Amino acid sequence: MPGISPQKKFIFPFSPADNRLGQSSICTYLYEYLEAIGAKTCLHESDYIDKDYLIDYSKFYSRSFEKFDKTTDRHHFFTSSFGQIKFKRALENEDKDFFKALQESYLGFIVLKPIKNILGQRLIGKTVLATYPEHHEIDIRCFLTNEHKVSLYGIPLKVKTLPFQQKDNAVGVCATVTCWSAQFPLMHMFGTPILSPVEVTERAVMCPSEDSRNFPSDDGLTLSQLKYYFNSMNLETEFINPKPTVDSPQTPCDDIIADAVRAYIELGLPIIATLNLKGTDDYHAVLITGYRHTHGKVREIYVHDDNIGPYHRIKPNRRGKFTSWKESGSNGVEKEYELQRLLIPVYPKIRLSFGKVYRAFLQFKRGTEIFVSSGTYPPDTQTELFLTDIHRYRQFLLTKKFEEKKDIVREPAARFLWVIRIHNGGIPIRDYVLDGTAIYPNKIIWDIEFQ
Amino acid sequence: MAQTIQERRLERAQREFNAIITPEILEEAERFHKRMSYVPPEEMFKPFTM
Repeated sequence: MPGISPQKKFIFPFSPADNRLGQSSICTYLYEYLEAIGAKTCLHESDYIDKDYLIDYSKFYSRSFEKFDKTTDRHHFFTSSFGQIKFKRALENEDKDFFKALQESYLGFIVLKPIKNILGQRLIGKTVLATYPEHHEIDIRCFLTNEHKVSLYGIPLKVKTLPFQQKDNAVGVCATVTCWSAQFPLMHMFGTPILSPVEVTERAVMCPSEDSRNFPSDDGLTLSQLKYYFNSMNLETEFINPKPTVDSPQTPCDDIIADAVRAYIELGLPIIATLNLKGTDDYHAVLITGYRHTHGKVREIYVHDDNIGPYHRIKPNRRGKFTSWKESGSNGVEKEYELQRLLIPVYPKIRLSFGKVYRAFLQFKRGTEIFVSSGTYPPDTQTELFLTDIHRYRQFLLTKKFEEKKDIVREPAARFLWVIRIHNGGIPIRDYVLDGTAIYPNKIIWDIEFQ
Repeated sequence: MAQTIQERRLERAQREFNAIITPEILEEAERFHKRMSYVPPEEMFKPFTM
């Protein structure tokens, strides 16, 4: 059987002290992450053909003088403990109970490419790992996920996550792999294609930049190339600058980054954050993949950072906002990034932009704060803004009680909706539902008071 | 022509909404959107190299 050597050991107890991926900082991060999500067993699948790497190989590496393997090593991780004899016996006897137990304890896989970086460390390829658990004490984590089916020697497995991979200076650096990860939820929602990193770079560089070379692509993509890339997929792009001054009442407690993250992740749209390393001319791009909140207050943002790993935690700054991020480098030196912009690829029919609806949202938010201080609404009542589609929203309405429900759920409505929700401790009090396909935030579809 | 229940409900909701989201707020929203979504040309061509 390809991938299983009869004598060679291929199943190992998971141990951070015995990191089977390598010694790079990203490998250390991945093993720490796997420990945090409960890994107990690692299964090594050799000679695995990874489609993304194979395309990169055929378009770039196969034409090098140096010889590169065209197969990879894939490492699977499980929360259950089992050994090689038990696994082989289960394959022999088609042990369906064992296969079911494998599925229930499956955490996903990491592909190790045969390509090495300048330090001689093998690069991490497609990585499909389960997210942190949904609940953390009273907090809730929300992630951008889709179901990924995996076949392990014919055993069907699946994991809900967003794929990650490390940058490869030859075929694409941070912006390329950020676009690569962003493709998965977009394909799921809008049917756009999945390209390999080299293909992402090829497409993006059709928009010319001032830099000299496209490949090797250490020069990186620009914002205009990212926009071009998504536009070429028939998607629109929205930009959000977190530093606008507003002419109208705005309190220091508003955090446009946290609000935008919640608004777009609800529908399942990827959010690219562009960062500037403070005091330098270095720019970085990462993908925002989720957040943790306590009754609506965002405590942490999770990002796929190709220099660090998947689901890297970002904490708010001293002012409680996500407009600047700090992180410790592998050498212990703390780096501070300023968040410059969010870029969100959206379906063209989502015409009502976040910028326009956000001002209206702030007006409702201020109103709610007045009602709370006057005692009309209970303390801890909050206002949130999110984008959704009619199918999800009707599904939500079916679970609630409100006047004229049987008429409202049958009424025609726009495919995309912006919802301004007033809630207390996560329990909805009132929804103002706006037409997401409109140009201006002046058309209400429903105003629903929940019982 | 008599209004349907849906039309009456929508009209009431729109009236209440318009009392909160006034024409001034809508104008502000337009300005806010323009500032927030504007990208200076030089920023469009800075490469992400990290």
